Amino acid sequence: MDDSITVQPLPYRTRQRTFTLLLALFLVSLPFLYLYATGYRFDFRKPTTLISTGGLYLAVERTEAEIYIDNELVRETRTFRRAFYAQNIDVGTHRVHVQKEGYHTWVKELPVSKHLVTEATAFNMPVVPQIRVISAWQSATGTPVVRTPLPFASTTHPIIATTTLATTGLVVNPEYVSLRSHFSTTTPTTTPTTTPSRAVVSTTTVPVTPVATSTVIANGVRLSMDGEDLYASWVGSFESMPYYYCAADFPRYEGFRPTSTISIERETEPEETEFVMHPVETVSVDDVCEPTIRMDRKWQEVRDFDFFPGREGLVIMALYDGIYAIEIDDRSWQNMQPLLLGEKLEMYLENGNLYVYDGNLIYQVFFNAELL
Amino acid sequence: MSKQSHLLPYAARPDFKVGRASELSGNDRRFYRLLEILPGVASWLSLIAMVLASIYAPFFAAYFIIAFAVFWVLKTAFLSYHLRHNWKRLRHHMTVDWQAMIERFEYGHLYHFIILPFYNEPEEVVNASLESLAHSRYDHKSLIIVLACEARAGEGARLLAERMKEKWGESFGYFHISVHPANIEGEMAGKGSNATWAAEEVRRNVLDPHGIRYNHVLVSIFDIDTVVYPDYFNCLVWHFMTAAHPLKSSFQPVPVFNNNMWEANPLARVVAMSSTFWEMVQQERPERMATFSSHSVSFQALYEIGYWQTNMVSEDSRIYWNLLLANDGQYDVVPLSYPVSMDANTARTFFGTVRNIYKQHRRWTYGVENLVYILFHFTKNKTIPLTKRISIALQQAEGYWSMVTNPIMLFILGWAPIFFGGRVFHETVLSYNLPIVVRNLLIFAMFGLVISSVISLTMIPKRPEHKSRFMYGVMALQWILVPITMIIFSAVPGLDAQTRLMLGKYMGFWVTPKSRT
Repeated sequence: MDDSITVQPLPYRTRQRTFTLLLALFLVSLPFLYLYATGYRFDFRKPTTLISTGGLYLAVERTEAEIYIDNELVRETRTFRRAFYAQNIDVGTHRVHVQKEGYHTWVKELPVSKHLVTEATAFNMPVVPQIRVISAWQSATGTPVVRTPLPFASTTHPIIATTTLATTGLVVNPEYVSLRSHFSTTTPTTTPTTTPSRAVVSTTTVPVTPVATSTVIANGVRLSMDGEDLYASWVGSFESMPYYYCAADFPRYEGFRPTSTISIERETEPEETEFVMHPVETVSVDDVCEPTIRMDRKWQEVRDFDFFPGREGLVIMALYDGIYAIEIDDRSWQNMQPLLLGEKLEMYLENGNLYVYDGNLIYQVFFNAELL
Repeated sequence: MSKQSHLLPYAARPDFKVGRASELSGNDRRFYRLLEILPGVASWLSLIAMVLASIYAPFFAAYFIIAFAVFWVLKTAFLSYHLRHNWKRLRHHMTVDWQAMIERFEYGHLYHFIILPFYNEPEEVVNASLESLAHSRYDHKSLIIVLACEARAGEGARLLAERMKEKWGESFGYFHISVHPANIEGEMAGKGSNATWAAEEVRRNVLDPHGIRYNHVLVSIFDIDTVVYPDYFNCLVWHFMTAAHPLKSSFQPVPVFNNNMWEANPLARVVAMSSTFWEMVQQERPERMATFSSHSVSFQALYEIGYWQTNMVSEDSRIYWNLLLANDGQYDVVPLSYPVSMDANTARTFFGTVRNIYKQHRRWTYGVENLVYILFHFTKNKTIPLTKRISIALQQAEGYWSMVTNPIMLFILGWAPIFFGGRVFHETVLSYNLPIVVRNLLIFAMFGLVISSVISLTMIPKRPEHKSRFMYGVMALQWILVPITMIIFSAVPGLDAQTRLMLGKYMGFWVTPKSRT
């Protein structure tokens, strides 16, 4: 019987050749992978030239928002894809904006450095404020009763609009009573037992213009008034300090011609890249840096301020003409989006909910148009 | 004639069958103890070094992880190549008429001495093994069966053996029952000591009285759940007859865990199949093979070294190293590329199965005690060429180290620089690209699982009537559990075993529970 009927094991030489081939593949592919992982790219116009690129990382809170880099749509966010990391970004200043129908657009110019990733967090507040009215009086079924309509906001909660002052048949709204005590007060407030210390509001019985809280600290950030200006200072550990504190200056966005790819033709020849395996630090712990940012108050008096609920890096400010959400990140500028417009509005935050008082009604302001 | 006159010179050394450092004295003891510590230290140091590098040198750690992921992909491809070839060989060997193949040889003088050590396994398991032997395509009069029971298992085991003898005794040339006494000084209760007792009993009670020459006897030491395929002994005879050095060779089949494949849970199936695949890969690299689980070897070779060691756990692999050393490096393992079927690990409950698989693999990976044995004796037996000693030592050391560390480094510590890398590292493109590059490489490597899935579907037994066709889909998709099984049932028990050895908390033999539903 012919022994060749059996299948022989893999010959040693064949195994050796295969091993050698794979070893060669390992040695050849590794440098390319290292270069790619570090942010080097080949300039295909000059194949032997390496270009250093950087990256952008953008966190977006909204789903179905559109992210643009240099006016080119790069991502539509989804439920499990609300952060976007773009690599192969040319070194320089880029314009990033995040938009969604029915929401304010967030726009920023951000610097991209070679082999480094620039991080930013976008926010988009509803264009039409979403509110729930809390009136002093309500119907027997709990429906708020208001004297004037609300042309400046939107609500799907039922309300009863009336032109009379009569309260017969109406019930005092206990929620209103409870919340009212937190606003420009005729009764003394007590210092909260939790979280930041607040300035004690005047205990006189005469309604007074509310004085901005002096200091609030949360998540390593201290918000404090200095004169008329509000400052955000990083007081947490250096390791976890956001990069926009102590960020270096960078040139303005010059405007690139949009193409189908992010890494687009430049109008000037790229610099010859000095080969750097390890990127240069932007901020060293040894560098002298005062991690303090002045908040843009549009030259208005800051009537009140606090941190935006659940969002690091975002502040709520009560200015003369309205309540605003404003980001601490002051690279290029600070995005400021109105939450509720109106003169001399007062704000109060409780359990992550924002309440605004206009002297008559209290409004609970929602931050998400889809919730209503 | 002295009791040891039949032993090969090297096998007559007092330290030849050392099981642990405490059995030696003086410098040898210290050296052996140092070797026992070495594997655990190497593994732990590697893992700790990864964490420390992620904290203090995150860039270096990141580059290392990328290189490691590329290495893993290429290694997977390399091993898959071997696996595919052996799969073709296995399938072909299953179709070959081995009985016709051996007709040209004079083999009528050969006996097959089958040792079936058991402890307290259920009757249906024992019965299935004997039934498969009775139905094998070989002259049954040349089969010598030994049911090797343990006295410590109680009267029930002996009675079971008696029942089996009554049922199957007439089907074979010889059917012997041996009862291994308990508490023999210097012995560790387990398969090795039981098999050695049985082998010596058969030698005195069967071979010698009947004038059967030792070099005419092929010993097959089978786990009690081993079900042989019909042509096993024909295939074995063919390989014995065509081996370069048949009396200096062990013969290794491919263990497939098909006996209860349809009843086992997906975790058990994946783990079992992975073991099969590993053995299939090794069959294509015979110079790296050691014996594992059920295998065959000539009685003469065994007799020349005094049978299996009775003082350690992984006797199935140790016997090969004993034979290699005793024969001064002139000893081979011949891959049969022919299967024997065994049981996948099961228990009544899911967590019972998980526990059993873990303990079984911890016992298997305690085979690192063989690395210690090899390294110790490689410093003693200078007759073996130095290059061969170094080559074997490095292969074995790499194998035990990579089995424990590689899955953990790849699937868990690969993300360590991202967590521990610090501020400067976190703002780099490298930090962001590291998980992407590693993830993509691992996905690429996982394509090998597709091959595994396909191969496994061709190797499972016919679907029982009461099992739905949907189970085929489960059988195919279960391979996504591989990253989990590699860590929980390979790396972690391996690290557990090496740590125990390192700390001197020696393991005993753990009997894998067998059951058939």
